Amino acid sequence: MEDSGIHGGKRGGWACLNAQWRCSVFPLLCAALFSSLPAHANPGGPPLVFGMSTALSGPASGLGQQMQAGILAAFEACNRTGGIGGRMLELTALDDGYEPGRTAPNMRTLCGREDMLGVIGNVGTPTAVAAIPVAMATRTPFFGAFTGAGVLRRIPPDRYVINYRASYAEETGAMVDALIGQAGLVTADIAFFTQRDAYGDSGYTGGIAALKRHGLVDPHTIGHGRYERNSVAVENAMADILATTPHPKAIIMVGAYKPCAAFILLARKLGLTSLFLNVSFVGADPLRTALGEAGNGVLITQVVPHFADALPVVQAYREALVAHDAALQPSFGSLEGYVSATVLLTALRRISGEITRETIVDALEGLGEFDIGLGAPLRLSAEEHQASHTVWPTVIRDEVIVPISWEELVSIMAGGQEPAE
Amino acid sequence: MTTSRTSKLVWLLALIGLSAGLILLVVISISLSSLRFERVRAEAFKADVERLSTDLSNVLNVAEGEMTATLSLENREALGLAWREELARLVEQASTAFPEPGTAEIGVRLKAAVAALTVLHDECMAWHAATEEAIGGLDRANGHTQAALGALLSLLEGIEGKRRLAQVLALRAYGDASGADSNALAHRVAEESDPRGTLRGTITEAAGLRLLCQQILVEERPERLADLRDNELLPSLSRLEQILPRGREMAVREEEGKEEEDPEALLELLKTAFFGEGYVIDMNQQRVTAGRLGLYGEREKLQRLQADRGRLQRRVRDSLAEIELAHSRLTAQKDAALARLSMEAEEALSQTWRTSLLMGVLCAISFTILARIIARAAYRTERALVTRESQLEEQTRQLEASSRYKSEFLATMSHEIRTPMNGVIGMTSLLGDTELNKEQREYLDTIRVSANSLLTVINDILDFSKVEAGKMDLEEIDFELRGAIDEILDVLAYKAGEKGLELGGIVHPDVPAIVRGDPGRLRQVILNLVNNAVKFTSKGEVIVEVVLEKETDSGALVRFSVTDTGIGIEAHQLDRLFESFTQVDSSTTRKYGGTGLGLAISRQLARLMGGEVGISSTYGAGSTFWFTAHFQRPLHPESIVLPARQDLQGKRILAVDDHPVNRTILRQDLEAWGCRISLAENAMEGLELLRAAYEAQDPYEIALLDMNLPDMDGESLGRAIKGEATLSETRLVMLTSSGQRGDTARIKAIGFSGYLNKPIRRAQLRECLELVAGGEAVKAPVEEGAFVTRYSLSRSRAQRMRILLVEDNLVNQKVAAKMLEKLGLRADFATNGKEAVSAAAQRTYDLILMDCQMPEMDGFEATRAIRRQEGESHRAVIIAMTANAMKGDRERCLESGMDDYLSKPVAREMLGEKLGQYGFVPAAGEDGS
Repeated sequence: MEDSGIHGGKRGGWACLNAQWRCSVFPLLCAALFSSLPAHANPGGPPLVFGMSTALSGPASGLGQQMQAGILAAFEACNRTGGIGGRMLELTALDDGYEPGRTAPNMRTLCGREDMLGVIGNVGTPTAVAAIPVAMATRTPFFGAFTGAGVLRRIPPDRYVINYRASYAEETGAMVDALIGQAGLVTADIAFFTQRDAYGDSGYTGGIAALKRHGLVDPHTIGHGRYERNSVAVENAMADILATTPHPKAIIMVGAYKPCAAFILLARKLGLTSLFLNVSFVGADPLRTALGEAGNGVLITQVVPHFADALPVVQAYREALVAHDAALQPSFGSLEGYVSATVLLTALRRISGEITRETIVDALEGLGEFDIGLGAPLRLSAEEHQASHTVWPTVIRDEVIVPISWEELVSIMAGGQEPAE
Repeated sequence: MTTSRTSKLVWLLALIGLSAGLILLVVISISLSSLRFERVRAEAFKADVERLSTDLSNVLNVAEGEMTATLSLENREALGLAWREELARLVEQASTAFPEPGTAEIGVRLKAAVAALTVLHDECMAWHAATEEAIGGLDRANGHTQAALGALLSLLEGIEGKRRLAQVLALRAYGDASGADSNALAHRVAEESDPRGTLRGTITEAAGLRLLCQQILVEERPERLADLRDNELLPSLSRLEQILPRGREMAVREEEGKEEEDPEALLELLKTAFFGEGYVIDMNQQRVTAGRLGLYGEREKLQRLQADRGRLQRRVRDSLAEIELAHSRLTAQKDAALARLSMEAEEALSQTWRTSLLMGVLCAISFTILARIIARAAYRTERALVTRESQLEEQTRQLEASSRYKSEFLATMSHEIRTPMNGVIGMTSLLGDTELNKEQREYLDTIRVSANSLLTVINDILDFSKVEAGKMDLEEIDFELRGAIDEILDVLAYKAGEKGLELGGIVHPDVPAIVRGDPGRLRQVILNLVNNAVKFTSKGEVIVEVVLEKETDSGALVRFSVTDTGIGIEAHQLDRLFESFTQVDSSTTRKYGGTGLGLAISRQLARLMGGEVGISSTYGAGSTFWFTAHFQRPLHPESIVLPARQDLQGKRILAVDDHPVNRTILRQDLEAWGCRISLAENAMEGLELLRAAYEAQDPYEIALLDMNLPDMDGESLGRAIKGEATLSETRLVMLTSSGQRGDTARIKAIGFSGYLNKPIRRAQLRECLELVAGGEAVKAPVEEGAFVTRYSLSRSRAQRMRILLVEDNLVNQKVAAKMLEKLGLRADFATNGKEAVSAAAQRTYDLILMDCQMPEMDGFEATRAIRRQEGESHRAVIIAMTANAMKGDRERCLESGMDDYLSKPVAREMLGEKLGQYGFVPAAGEDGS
């Protein structure tokens, strides 16, 4: 599903990495293939080993590397303060290149290891679909995957699948709530542009559900354009939206950055003044890059605060990231990795007895309401396997992604331009 | 001879049995070991073949799996060709594994099949490679096709999208715009519309192609594939070819000047992707000649390969089945081989069994024959034994008969000889009482001596015969040992006196006074020995010494020795001495006379009494004959009480004897003693006399019954008398000449008061009668009581007084003893004071003659000691005999406790007078003979 977006953003993805990034990525990549974090002296016993199967190469490698860096930053920070009960944390990362066919063997390798306590921070929904059966069969915790798909959010939850981030549906739902609640829009002012697959549909469904909460009766009255995966032919989608909603005030977009950028550019060309709202998975940086000047005022929701935020956990993240690799720039991806790892460490610290796969799940489920300095309540339990439901809005302003609050939505919309025509 | 033959046969039998057993054992063990070898071979063979079979099955499984995998395009790790080598090796092994006929043929088939399989495997691998390649090609072609289709569709979608967007925008503007612009906008919308559906049709065809492409990829049937090509793909492509230029026109018109991808070029690309480079489409013939690397060609190639796969799979199946068949036939061969081995084993077993059976039968037959021979021999031996046994029994019977005859003869002889001897001796005695001149007296003496000698000889012979015949029974009665010795010495004193020999008896104090045994037999032995001693001693002395040999549980073993100072016997003759009819030599016989039976009888009697006989002799200096006899403890250890004598004067006595001579003797004797005597000839007469006397109130006090009476024997008569109440008071005395030892108890049990053997000596008879008259009449059988026999008579006198003679000088001792003897007294001896004291302590003495001067302890001291130990009830009379007839001695004697004293030399008369004073002897000495 979102796979397509990454494929599509090949060039953009690479382009977004600056020189420093690239310098740091390659050695890291090589080291991470089969090695793990070098263990310090471990007076408290054998290290606590976690695994990761993610895209360290290929078009999606940017996200994978960011996640790995964030997790490593958190682990190293923890190890510097004595680890968990004197035991050092280790991360073994295997590269699956975002191909589900490679994910399954990686997962079998990781879960087959006696000392492997869990898998953390895998990236993508297709890879998660391949990884989850292995984790379930080997009773290995599968924590903090970088995806908001419903397949990881069953009701009741799978015991070994525990998430940090908010779902796509929650992101679109938050957008709808803000548009109607804050910006004073009506349901008819909102249209959807989604990828023609489950990724797009999950966002669309969440948005429609939110609209229904706000009084929508007939979903067909809502403009909805879809584009083919691997295609940048967005004209038909535009035609579909405009045919239903001639003057959409806000267009919620669930897609890859390339078609999204194409759509926004087309809309600008056509003189649409709509507010464009993207979900986190679009990739804020590539989108920003692809849009260039046209990106101003495009809204992107995040499942973590902005990486420059003053929140304690974000400050700690920045310090840890610098400590981990001073060449790395903060990013939403590495922050999500860091936050996920922090949740895990919080649970690990609460284990009094032997640390096993089971006790880790028990500890995570036993966290209940907890706070890691995120400024938002987190909650995990046997019934609740998703820690965060919070969505942080950001906007591209002057080609820079800046955090906003939903209250600022009105002013953003006011700052928008009416079509020239 | 029979026995040795039998034993030979038995040995032969054993030998044959042993060798047969050995041979059987050898045969069986050889067979068994060969069988075991066969079995081991068979098992090894079976194991080999089964292992081979298992290996083969495994390898075949591997082969099948490998080939199936190869054909099913499974991507698994290649096993390599090792299994093929293994298979070849196993097949080679299998085809040479059996010696069975037909195996070679199967082996050849198996090898051929395996070779075919190998070739097939090669083909499969080649197919696999080709198919892999084809699939790769197909994938590539599909990729190309999809890319081309995607590009085409994208292009078309883009064209359509733009046209639609333009329409929508125009419509939106039309809604917003005023009338002037409306026309232009309407025209625009119409312009952008696609009334002929060209674009839409193109898109539909292209989308249809996408589906068709998928269908081609999955379609397996070749005819359907051709159908898809001819009826679906070609029409679609040709239609696209027709309508695409229109679409291109629209696109060109839309975006003028802008470089767009050419739809026709895309179509060409698509066609090439479908049919390969260098394809030719002949639309007239509606035929496509496929080029290189097109989707369609690759699909067809793959399809052909799929068909090949089916064929290959069938061939693999067949080949494997062929191998399997050969394998199973090989297994069958194995079973056949095993069956053959088993049959061979069976054959060997039955062969062994037959051999064993044959041998067994042969052995059994030979055993039977031998056993029969042995049995017959044994039967003969047994018959001989039986015959001999019956002969022996017959002999035993004869012997027993003869022994019985002998006993009967002896009894008869005893009676027949004694009866006349009684007459002879009795008459001689009576004759001696008559007035005889000197010459007659000498003749009479000669007769008396001869008669006595004859009686002795006869008694010896009878005794010997009895002992020989085992008819000698010993009595068991209590008697006083000393009395027995005294009596013997009494008897022989005269004879010894004639020869001027000293004859003395010494009984040691520790010898029991009263013992239980046969006094008669003891007397006989001692008499014999003393007689001999007297006979063979011309001067010197003969001493009888009685010593306690040892105490036993039941009594005492007493040793009697007779020592003489006679001629002695040479050492070499000692051994023969106790043989029957033996004297030292025949010359002795002539010189000394005698039957030579004495010692033999003595020995036999001694043995009967539980003792032994022996002799020690120094030639020329004398001999000591000794014997031992065992006596039991007496039932009544106290002294045997005899009734007081009663004067026979006026006693009424009946004598029953059938022998006139005896009656005469008895009448004479009894009348002489003042008795009123009646005589009866037989039992009936006797009974009548007794009854008559009772009637007349003058019953007979005593009845003398002869044992042998014509009508009824003495025992029966006695029983009859005792049976009649009126007569039972009569005292009965049995007189017998045929007395048997052991009779006494029976006689006594009937109720007799006395028993005497004929010939009867007057003195004995008188004494007997006096005693019987003095005692109570015996009414009922009693076990032990007053019963007067010859032995008890002799004892009675001595028993009246117990005398201890204390004298250290042996000569004086003898002299004193002799004097006492003359007075009818017997004394115990002590050689010093100490002995005297201990003797007095053991036994109560009536009279002690005490020498005063003695070693160790003198008479005075001894007397004082005796007095001290004496009780109130008894006080012995102690008379001193002292050679020192000095003044004061008498006082000294009396002072020491003595009663009187005699001065030495003590004269016989003086002693008699002194003892008379104390009442130990009658006023006038009585001579027994």
